[in-house]
Amino acid sequence: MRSRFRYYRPTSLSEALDFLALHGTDTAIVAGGTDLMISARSGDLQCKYVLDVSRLNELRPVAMSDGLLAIGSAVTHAEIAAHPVTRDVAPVLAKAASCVGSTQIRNMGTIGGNIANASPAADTIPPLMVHNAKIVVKSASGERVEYLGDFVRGPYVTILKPGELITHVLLEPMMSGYRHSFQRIARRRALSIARMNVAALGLVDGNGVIQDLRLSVGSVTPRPCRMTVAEDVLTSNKPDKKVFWEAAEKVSHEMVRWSGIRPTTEYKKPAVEGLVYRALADLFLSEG
Amino acid sequence: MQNSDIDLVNIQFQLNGKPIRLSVRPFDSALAVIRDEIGLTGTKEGCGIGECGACTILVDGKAITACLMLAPQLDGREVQTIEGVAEGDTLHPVQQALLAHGAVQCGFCTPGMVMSAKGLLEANSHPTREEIADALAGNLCRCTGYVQIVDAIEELAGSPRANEAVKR
Repeated sequence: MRSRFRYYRPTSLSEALDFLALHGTDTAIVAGGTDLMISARSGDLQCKYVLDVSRLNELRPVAMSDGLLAIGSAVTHAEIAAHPVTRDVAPVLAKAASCVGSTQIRNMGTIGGNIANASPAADTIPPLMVHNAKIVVKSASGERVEYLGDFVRGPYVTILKPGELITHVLLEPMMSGYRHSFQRIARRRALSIARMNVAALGLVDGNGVIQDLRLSVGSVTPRPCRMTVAEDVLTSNKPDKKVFWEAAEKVSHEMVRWSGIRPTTEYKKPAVEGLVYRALADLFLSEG
Repeated sequence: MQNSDIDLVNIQFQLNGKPIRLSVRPFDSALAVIRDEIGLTGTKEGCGIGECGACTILVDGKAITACLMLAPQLDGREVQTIEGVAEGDTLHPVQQALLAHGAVQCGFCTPGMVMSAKGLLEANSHPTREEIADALAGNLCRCTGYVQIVDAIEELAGSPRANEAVKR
């Protein structure tokens, strides 16, 4: 049976935070609804109130601020994919946002919702990780800022407390000269949840040596992380197929180290290696 | 379920160009209200979880799945359903294109397809075939008549009628 709840739509951020201060433990937050409506339909959603933050202007900016890209939590995937600022300084995030769900889902779903839901397969999380994203959380009593890798504690688990609201994310902009790639594997191109996804940023110096490499792989570890073991293999080397495969194997070892051998490991291992290879080849061997 | 113990939410919005005002249950979907309260059953419920696109409507010009929208979120919006696209007996150019290409089989997906195509053409009056396929990727057709559907929209997008499709 459908979950039953009351609906409340605040007109300002402070009103939203005041509401959460009073009713935080009994309240679910909705913006795009693409996750909440599914649990409401099945009856799994248990709450007294649903707080609609989708129209709060305070949660809608996309702008550079003090050298960081600030994206409001209620900005939709479609807006991130199309926005000139995200396309300029976070193209790997814009690309990932353009791969989420379908046109309809991208017009509804928000980046804040993607983070708060904390699905291991969330398409925006690997790009945020390679941008060293921080999550800004507010409550009636103040504000805290957490790295995304610390904010998400496991599949569908975050450190967001009752009474708190994600207001925006802060990304280090991609510096000039960097290349970027986002790759995913899914059963169907549209709508399917990614089985795996990869975001990578890389910088090659004048001698053709990799100066900086940032790699994050979704759905293979319980928490978002950077694949530092693979990044280390690549940094200070020249990009070539051999070193790409070496890095890809480091990622699959890392997956097994975190998750152990599972029935699916035999399939996932070559898949994740191939996906990482594809991202690295796209990063360094393709034009542009 | 008794409505007497539920705090109904009063909303008003534009539906197919006309203002509408009603009280909705806070936990119902926009789809349930459009079909069961307002009685516009052209918008279909397929999966109910945002995967099939049969319930696609335009909200402020953007294609969304009505099953994933809470009814109170309709408040203040400009909403268009399949019932609002034809003008009297004159079908919308997208509908005419689908008919001309034999792109309607059982018809269940068609209202959602029309709304997705309309949303695309309003944002981009001359999309490429790839852009059309991408815009319709959230709409399933279990008769698998995709080729004719994409052909229809592609021909419309390449014709002078594309601009007419945008205006309406």
